[in-house]
Amino acid sequence: MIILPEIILSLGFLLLLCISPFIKADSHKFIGYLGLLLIFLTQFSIVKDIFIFEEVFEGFFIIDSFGSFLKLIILISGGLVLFFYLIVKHDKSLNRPEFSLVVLISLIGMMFMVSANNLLSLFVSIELQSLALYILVSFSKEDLNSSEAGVKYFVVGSLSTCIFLFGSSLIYGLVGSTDFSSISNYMIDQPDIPMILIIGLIFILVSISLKISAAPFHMWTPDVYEGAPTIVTAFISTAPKVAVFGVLIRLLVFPFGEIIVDWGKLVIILSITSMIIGSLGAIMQSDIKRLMAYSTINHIGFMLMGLVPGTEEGITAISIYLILYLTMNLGVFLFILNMQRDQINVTAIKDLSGLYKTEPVMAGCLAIILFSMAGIPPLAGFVGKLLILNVVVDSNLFFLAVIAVLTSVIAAFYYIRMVKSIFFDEPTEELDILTNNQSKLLMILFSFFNLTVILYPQFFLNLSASIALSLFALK
Amino acid sequence: MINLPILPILICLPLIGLLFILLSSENDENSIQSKKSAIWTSVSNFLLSLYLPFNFNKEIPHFQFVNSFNWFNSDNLKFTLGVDGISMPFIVLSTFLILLCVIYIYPQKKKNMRMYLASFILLESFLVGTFSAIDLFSFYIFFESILIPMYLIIGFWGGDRRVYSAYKFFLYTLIGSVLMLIAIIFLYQEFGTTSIARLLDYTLPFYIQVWLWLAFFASFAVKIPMWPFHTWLPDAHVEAPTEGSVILAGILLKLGGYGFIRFNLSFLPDASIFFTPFIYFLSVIAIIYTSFIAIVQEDMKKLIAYSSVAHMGFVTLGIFSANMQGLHGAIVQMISHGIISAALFFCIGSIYNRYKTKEINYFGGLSQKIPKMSFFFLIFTLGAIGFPGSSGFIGEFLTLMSVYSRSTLVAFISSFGVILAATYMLLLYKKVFLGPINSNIDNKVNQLHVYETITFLALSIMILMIGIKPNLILSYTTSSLDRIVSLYPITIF
Repeated sequence: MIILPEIILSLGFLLLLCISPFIKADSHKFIGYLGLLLIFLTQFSIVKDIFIFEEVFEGFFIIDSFGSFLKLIILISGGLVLFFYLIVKHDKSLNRPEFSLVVLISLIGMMFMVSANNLLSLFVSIELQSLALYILVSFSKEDLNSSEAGVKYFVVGSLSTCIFLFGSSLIYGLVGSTDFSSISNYMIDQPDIPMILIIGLIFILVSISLKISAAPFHMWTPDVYEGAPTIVTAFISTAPKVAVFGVLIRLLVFPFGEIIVDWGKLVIILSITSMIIGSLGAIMQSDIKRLMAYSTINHIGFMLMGLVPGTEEGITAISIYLILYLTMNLGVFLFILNMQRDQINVTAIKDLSGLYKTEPVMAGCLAIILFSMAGIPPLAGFVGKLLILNVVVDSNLFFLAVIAVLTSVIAAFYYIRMVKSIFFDEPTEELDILTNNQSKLLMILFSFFNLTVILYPQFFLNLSASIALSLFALK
Repeated sequence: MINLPILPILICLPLIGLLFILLSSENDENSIQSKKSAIWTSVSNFLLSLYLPFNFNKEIPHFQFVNSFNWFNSDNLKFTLGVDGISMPFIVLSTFLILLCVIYIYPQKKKNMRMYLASFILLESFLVGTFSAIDLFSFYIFFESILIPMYLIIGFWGGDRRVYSAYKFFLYTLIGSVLMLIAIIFLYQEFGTTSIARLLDYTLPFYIQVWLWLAFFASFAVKIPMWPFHTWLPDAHVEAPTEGSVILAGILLKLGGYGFIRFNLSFLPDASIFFTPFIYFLSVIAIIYTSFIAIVQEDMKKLIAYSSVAHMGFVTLGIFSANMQGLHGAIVQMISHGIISAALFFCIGSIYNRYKTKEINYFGGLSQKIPKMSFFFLIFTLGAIGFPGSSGFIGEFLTLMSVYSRSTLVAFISSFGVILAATYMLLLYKKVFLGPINSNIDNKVNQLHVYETITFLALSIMILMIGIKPNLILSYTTSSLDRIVSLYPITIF
């Protein structure tokens, strides 16, 4: 069976849903661990068939190694977040079995997203994952901020849905099909591309930008990141970003690859605004979660740059950047999850002050990850930035490269501001931080990974090059 | 002769020492364990680095001791290490100064001593890496990595305004070097290789050279630093701990000059000729203007910091004169300034440890209290002035001679810098060490202890050695510089 991974995950999800009411004690942990097992099984079945290429359900979905690879990343980051959920203490309202289940169903949605080969199936799977995310964001029922963030996310998300539908209907009206290959063929046959098609594409691009939080469609991001429970913020800043980026790459490279001249400019604008807003917006933030929201916007802008030339090298660089971004982001969020004072989560930057005194090892790990995010060599973040810049300079977009490096210097300011709080400031009140050994071990692993990527970049290059190749096989 | 992979060893040995330092016992009273590990690491690294000058073939202009590692699966992008006559002296200087720093730290007490030593040992690895990288990307990686330990040293162990200075240092240097990154990537895209040795064979059209030159200039002008990009330096020096200032003035500034010779001058000859008047202009301003600023400083460290900018002005003059004397002068000036400014900062650190202040007006007649230190300080002061017989003289003399062959006017104006240097240094010496004893100074004062004496003695010997026999350095650099000089016409203007 070619869609075995999705089937395993969906059936397992239903099974867990059925048994969850019958477990009395600590049901959220039990379901959580079963969910992890399920994710592991799914990954196994993906790895088994990673080089298979096939269209299924009459072209509704496509199974290729690009999609399979993204599914793996999505599941790994989803699984890690689920693991964080299990090992870290939370607010009582989060300790419900439904949490893991909703995470699972949104993972299913993401898996379908990256293998969608039709505007219709793409739309349905985006909705599946988004609806699950709306629930997750407003999961802390008693917390007003969480509910507010949920509503905000839902309103913006629905807007994005409408825009997506409108864009697809324009394209459908013109092409007469929603299938990606029909759209592609239509454009190849047409001597000059009708304006309506480009407008349709712009609508779809705007909708996806809303999802991926690329500026100027980023307004919801800081609020939702801040309001949502931290574990949910960790989730929405990782797995869905990968999935939506996968969709964006697939859409732009395959069906709309013919009109690269038109969307290239749009992506340049998106990436420049994202980098500028992502770096300037974070300077005055005092809350780590809000700061991470802007950091995400900045990183997204950087990755969008790699898409501009629409080449294999670009996609390779983006895939590597995505992996490195995930490890950095998950590391920081694992740390934020452990920032507690008197059993209450705190997220202000000044709460980090003097961390090196109480937790020297953790302080060192976090500092490594933050320097890596700032893109200082020899850490992992630099490798990602180098590969993307390489692609950009290769296509002679020097102004873009200059803007990118200058904004990354501004971004470096707020990362090293956190390092400053950790090492240079005197502690105000002590955090009772990182009481469990699993978190410590994971933090050490994340920072070790960030330290050592520079020694074997070729491994990631080979991996990503092979998946980028599979994407271009369609053309 | 056995083929020892000396450069990888020089880079990796500190990393192994770093592990020992980090694993040493935390509850140790004076962190003796970590200090001992640091001493062993730096001593052995210094002795190993002496392998380079003794086995160096002076006739070969190309890179020697080349070691190359696969990094990306590509023949053109490798992790390559090697030295030529230009970089070899700097490697020895780095290991030498780090060793002195560790010796100087030994008797001290500081918060979190383990991390302090670890930062310096890590710096040693990165510094050797920067000077020995002969591949653009590996150079850039080492060059930038230095920011991390240096940021922590200034920000964690520095003075009152340490945070501000640490930011300023970090962001100024970063903004310069990211532009260089784009230039490096461009060179890679253009020629498909990042090997410095192979890039020397290519020539670029003039208008591209200009842009690349500016990108490299942005990075090195901030690092060296040239006027008007120097404003981070006084702040960083004043706030950094003594050993941090030593490394900053002693080696980090030299990265700028080294980069100018290695990249701007070697790769981009047409643009270098084009920009020579511009460089002369900035250098002359740096020499005259910052010397005047140095005269009115009230903080000893700030005075030395401004004098560094002025001295580096001579270095840039020498480099962009692009003849043999100029380049020789620039390299000797860099090495000698590395030793002299390090020595002055050590001295000021010792004074600060005794009186907890760096205010010049606080002192007076110190020579009657600590006669040994006043002796050493005099040697270093004379070195900084460029007194004949000291290494400073060789550097300034050669530089001015080469500038004279290019432009009489520039040589005329910049030679005033020598007089101004004498003014501010002698004034400093007079105010602090001579005259009646200031009433602030109490009677009981610790004399120089053995670690300080070792440090000062080693530095004084180096100053005199280079001053008397500059060929110690110049004999190594000549053949490598020949290639660069041959790119430039005898008369530029």
